[in-house]
Amino acid sequence: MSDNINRRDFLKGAATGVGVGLLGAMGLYSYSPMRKSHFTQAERKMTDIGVCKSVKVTNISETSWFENGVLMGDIKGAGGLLVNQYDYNWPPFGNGKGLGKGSYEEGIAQIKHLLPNRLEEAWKIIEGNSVHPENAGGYAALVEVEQMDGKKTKYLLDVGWSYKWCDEAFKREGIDKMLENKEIEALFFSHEHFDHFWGLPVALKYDPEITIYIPEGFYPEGLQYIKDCGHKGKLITVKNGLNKVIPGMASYVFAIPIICRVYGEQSLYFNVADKGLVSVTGCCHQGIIRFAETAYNEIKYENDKCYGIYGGLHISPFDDWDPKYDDLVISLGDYGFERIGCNHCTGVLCAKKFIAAGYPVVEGTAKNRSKDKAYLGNGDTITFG
Amino acid sequence: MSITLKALLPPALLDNPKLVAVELPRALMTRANFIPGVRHRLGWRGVRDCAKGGGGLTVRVTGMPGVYGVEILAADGQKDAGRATFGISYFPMPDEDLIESFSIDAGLAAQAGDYLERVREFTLHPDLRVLFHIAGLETFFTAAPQGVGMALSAPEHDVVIARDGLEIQTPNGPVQAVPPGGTDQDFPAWDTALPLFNALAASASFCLGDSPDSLTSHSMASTRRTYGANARITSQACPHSRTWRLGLGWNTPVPADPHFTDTKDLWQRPAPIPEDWADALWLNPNIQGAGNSIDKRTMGISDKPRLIVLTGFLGSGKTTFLARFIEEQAAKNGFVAVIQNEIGQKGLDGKLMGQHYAVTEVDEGCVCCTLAGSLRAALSGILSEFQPDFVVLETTGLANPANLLSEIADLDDLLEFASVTTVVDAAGAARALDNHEVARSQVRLADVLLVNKADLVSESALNELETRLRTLNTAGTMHRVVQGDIQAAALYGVNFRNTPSRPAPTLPLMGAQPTHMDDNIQSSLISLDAPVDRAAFSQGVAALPDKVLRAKGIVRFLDTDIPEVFQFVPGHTSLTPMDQEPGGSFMVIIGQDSPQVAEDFRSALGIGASAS
Repeated sequence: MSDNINRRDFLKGAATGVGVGLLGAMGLYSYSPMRKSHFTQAERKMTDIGVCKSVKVTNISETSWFENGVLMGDIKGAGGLLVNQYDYNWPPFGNGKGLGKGSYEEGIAQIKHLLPNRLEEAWKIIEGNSVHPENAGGYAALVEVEQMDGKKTKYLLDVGWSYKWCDEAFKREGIDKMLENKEIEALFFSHEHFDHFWGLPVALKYDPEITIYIPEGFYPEGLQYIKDCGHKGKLITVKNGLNKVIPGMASYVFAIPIICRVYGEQSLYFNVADKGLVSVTGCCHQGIIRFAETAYNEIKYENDKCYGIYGGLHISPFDDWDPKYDDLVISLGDYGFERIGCNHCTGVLCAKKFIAAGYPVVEGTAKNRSKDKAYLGNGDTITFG
Repeated sequence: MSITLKALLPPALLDNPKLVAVELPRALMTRANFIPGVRHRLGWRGVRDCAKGGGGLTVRVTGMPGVYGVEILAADGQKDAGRATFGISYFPMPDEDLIESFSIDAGLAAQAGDYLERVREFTLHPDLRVLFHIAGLETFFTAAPQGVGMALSAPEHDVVIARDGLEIQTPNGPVQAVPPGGTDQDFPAWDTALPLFNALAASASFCLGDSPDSLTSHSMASTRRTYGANARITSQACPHSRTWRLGLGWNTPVPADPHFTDTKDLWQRPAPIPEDWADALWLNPNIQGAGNSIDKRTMGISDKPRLIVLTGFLGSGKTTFLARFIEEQAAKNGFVAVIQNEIGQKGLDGKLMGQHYAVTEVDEGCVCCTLAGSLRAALSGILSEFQPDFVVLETTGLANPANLLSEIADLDDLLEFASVTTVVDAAGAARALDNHEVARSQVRLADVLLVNKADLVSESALNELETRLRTLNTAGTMHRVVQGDIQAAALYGVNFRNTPSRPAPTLPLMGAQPTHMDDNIQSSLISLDAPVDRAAFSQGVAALPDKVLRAKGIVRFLDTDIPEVFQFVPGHTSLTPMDQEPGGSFMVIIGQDSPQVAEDFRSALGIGASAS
């Protein structure tokens, strides 16, 4: 071929598929140690996590905050999404100095003596010292796992944010009594974010000895807060990767940077007999694709099927480089979930798109300040299996 | 110098230097991409995790149409230092000029139908990783004192010789694509890899809160590769090409590499930076205007931005009004995207490369873009990239908003339509209205009329102008302003939730009949005193003729107590429940022969004719 013919045009008409070219002579790298690549193909590990009969999730609260505009105004006013969450001057760590001028030490000093038992008094102080305490809600869920022999085990996933709102929500769902009766086996934290973690005293008020699992990557303030809230039980830091809990239940920690200087997210996986894999997430910052692919590569589950999902389905901050794929709706469709209960940070528009696309979204009742039936709202439940 | 790594990675991770080196590129890209204004300025144009292959990232960077792949190759570390190496690939777009420089096999792979699909998960496809690999990236971390280093290695020319030539099957029979001993590939690897490295280094300066304090350059003679049909690949010296290794250090210099024979310490703080690097993006860790743009998706917030269509005749003061508006929103932490719907003089240059819009400016409160493609494609891109709170579509003084309205209506999945705002020059409006249909049209279709430069004319002239504006537009709200200065809340209501207000009764036309040719566009009001049947209303709307440019109003239906705001442009209707109690129910129809159209609509609803 002469050099003045445009290669591209010529290649377009050529047979596709690779001839005996460069690739036929693979073994390519030579000019620097950089070129030594290990072509490791990910083997499916198919770890056996056992099997359970069913999983029931009760949404204690999915409403992290009540007004988007107020929250965004706070974040922007404090300097943006990379600011350390303990510096916003949000409840419960208000120091009275105003937006963006907070600190963990100054905030906790105002209320530490009241934790975890005198939360109403603490909240009064917090209301006087914090930015927009009325906007705080929280994310918390109760997970009940039924074993094959019928034995049931309860876990908490996250505890919300506002002491006031979360205590009301705990009482509404009877979580206070369950904790007092030591019916709840452990508390799992999905990540260190304010709306999932800062309501911790509400749980400790009823059961200070509860075992707590946190993902690796908590910051010193968060670790100190667990102590300052009066926690007297076991604290287990879950390393990145898979962690078996009981037959049919495991948690998985993803090492990922998250906004407001948070790092790492823990999600729950269940293997439900005859149904398949059920996933319960806080926010799913790792993105639904990585979440589902991780399950596929790491865990052995019934029928090799993704059966159900509950929780926040996050849209990755990475704006994809190809707009036509920039859509959670498309990616979720690839996995064939049979029961989808989404809420929290999924975005109502997104949830409505799922419904419009014909996905099996379990709709909610839109009560207790949940805004839309497309969401599994506050006080709603979903059962898998 | 002191750098802050703890905002980037948590303490638990910093105790493991090898992991820090491994996680560094991803952490830098993630953090920088959380903030739209920042990611745009640092040069990121989209990042995606290879979720299936694990450990890979695909990235687009300003100025390069293709997609970069970054994958971990190896890592090692001790207690106090860690190092990781990454492979960098560049996957050109199938129609990109750089295809010419890659090997024939790479060109064939890029023409395949599933090419971009495969690029998205390139770590799963060894052939892509071999054919498109262009450079190496090293990351370094030292624990005490904490320091970070990054180095890019690539040859100026990555040359591959086909010893036996290369023949390809084509529909017209076999073709000798490369003659025996000919050059299959001569790729400008260094120049192609540098934009990615610069964006990554700039992100490091931003995230670490300081610019680098050392710059090293290592080099060696390049080698080229030769392959044959039945032979192993061999490498020989490659004249006319050097392989470079550029290192940047933040509180730790990039260590030398024995393969690179020539080492130059180019720069060490506090010496002045060499001329070649004086404009480097990574020299400045501070990015102004970062706080006001926020990636709402990271919060799970999917509020649609509000759209204002800003029109006005030439010289009426649109730009002044817009500047005030942006200033006001920025003060409230709002972020505004301004879109000019015509290509400016400087819009379309080579930098656009398939983009549907060009960003002309980004600052604390706004991003300004000019359209280069379809409005929808541009908006999708701008909203995805910047996630503004408001979009102002600024039309040129000569544009008729009627042509825009139906196009805008189709965007309701992206935007919440707020207002057509028309700026009128109190001094020059009369002449414009006499002579230009476009000027009249801009007034007719406005929701908000701003009579600007009100200080330049007499009270009686103002009254006369306002009367005339009212004959053209009975339904809009009207404000007298000076220098475009008015609070947004006064115009659009609190939270931009203004609902249409019931028009004032039409005033009789003053003075002589207009002499210009008019295409008979009028507005007519229908009072809707009683709740109406939803089905009948829908049918009435469906039957509206093409000559209706716009209709809007507040409607009460029999099936619900909550009144709904009605908006119509050709081909599109929206009904939105109201969150406040309106003054009354009515509908305004704007278009040719609107009295007749209104009459027909009344009949459809079963309402008798009423004076309006």
